[in-house]
Amino acid sequence: MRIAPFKGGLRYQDNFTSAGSSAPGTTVPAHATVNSSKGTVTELLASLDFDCYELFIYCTGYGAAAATSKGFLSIYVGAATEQVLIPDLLIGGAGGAGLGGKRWRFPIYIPAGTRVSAALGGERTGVNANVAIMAVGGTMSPHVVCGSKVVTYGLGTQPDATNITPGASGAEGSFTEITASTTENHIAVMPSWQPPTDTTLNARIYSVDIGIGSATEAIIGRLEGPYIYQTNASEQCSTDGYDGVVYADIPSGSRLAARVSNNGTNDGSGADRGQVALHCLSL
Amino acid sequence: MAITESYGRDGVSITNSEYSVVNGSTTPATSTTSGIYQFIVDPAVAMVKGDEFTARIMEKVELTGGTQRQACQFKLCNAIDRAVEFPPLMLMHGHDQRIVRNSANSRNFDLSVRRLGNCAELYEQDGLSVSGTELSLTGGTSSLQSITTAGVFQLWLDLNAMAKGDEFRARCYEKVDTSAGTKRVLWEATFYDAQSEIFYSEFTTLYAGWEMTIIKLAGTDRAIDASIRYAS
Repeated sequence: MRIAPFKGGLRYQDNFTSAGSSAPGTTVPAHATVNSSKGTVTELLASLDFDCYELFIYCTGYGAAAATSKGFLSIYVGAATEQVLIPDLLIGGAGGAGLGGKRWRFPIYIPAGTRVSAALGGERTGVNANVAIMAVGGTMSPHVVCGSKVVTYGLGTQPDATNITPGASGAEGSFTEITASTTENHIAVMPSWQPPTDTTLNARIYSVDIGIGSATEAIIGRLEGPYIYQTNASEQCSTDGYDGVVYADIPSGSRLAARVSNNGTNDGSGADRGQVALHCLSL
Repeated sequence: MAITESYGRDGVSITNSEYSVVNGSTTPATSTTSGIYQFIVDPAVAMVKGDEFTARIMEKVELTGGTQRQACQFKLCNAIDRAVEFPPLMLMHGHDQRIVRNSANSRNFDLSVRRLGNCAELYEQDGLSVSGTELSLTGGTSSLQSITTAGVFQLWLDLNAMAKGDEFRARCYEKVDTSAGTKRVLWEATFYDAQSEIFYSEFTTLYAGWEMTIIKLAGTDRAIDASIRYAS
C-alpha cells in the first residue's frame, strides 16, 4: 500500500442556507410554460474561492403531491451566456421536507474564480425548485481523481430520459440500452433515476445498476445495488443510496445500459415505468 | 538512479517504546545526512485483529533552531498483510523513521529506509513573519521572484505556530513559456487552525520562472519556517 499523505485542509464553499430550512440553497425557476425548456439560468455561487475538485449537488422541492414532475437540471459555469458543465440531471419528484431530494457528487475540476449557476425545467412549469451545491477542493493535489467534463447519455425529448421497466417485487430487471456508443473516453459514471408520469405513486425502493458492453453486459465496477431511489405516496422521490460516481475505464464507443429493480409493484403505465440517464465523466 | 538501503532492520520486535530505524534502537535519531529517502514497513509476522502500530517520519524544517516534528504517519491496524510504503521525501535537517506499538502485543517488522538520491536546500526562511501580504519563500519579502534555477523541488513548511482561527495558503508559481510566458499558479495548499504535522509538497519540476509563496488569509500573523529543497 502506498500512503497518500493528507496535508493542510480541504476547503468548502456552498450556497446552503446557513440555518435550518425546508428550502436549502438557491431558488431556481422552471420554465414558465414549456416543459421541454429550462427556466432562467440562476447564479448559485458568484465566484469559487479555490480550485474545486469535487462538486456536490442537492435538488429539492420540485416534486409535489398529485403532480407529475419529470424534470432536468443542468449546472453551468461562467458569466452569461453560461456554459453547461453538468448537463441534464433528472430531478423528477425531487422531494422537499419529509423526503430527501436528489443528490449527485461529481469529482470535477472547476477553476478558482468561476461563477457557478443552474437552470431547470420539466413537467411542472412555472414553479421553483431549490438547488444547493458544495464545492470541495483547495488542496495541493486533488483529493480525488477528478475530470473536467460530464456527458449525459439517455436523454429523450426533455423532460424524458430512457424508459426502463423495473423488475417488480424484488426481481432484477433487464438491461436497457442507454447509449449504443459513448462519444469519448470516460473515467467514471453515475445515474439519475426519475419516476414515471403518474399522479399516484406508491412508496417504493428502486435500485439501478449500470452495465457496459453488449449483452450480456458487465456491471460497471462489479457493483450491484448502491444506487437507490425512493418514492412516496406524495409523488416525491429521493436519492437514498450512494450519490457518487463509479470509476471505470469506459472507452469511446462503449455501449452503456442500465437495469432497475423495485421492491413492489411498478408505478406508471405502459413503457412509462421510470427513467434513467447516465452521467459520464471525462478527463 | 542508484538506490541504496541506508537503514535496514529485519525482524525487529516493536514494543511500546518507539523504535528509531535510523539508530536501530529506541533512542530517537536526528539525522542530518541529506538525501531523498523512502521508508517501507513490512509486518514480518501476521498482524491480527486488535493490533495497532504507528509508523512515522520525523524531520526539522530549519537546521539551526528548528524543532523536529512529525512529517507524516500511518497506523497499521488489525490484520494488515501488506507492506506500507511512505512517499519519497527530501530529508536533511534532522530526520528519523520510527514505529511504535499502540496495542497489547509486540510484533516483528522488517523496516527499510532507502536512499534514492541526493538533495540540497536552495532557499530557507527562518521565523518568517507571515501576514496578509503574500510573501516570497525564495526572497522572504513581498517582492515575488521568477527563479530560473531548474530542478525537482519540494517545499517544506513548519506551521506549528498556527492556532484556531488561522488560515494560511502556500502557492507555487511557474512559467511555461521560457521567453514570454506569464508566471501562473501551478498548485496551492490551504491550512486551517492548528496543524498536526509539518507540510511537505509533492515533488514539483520547475524550470522557466518559478516562485513559492505564503500568505495569511485569516487569523493572527505567525512566524513560520520554510525550506525549498531540490534533487541535486
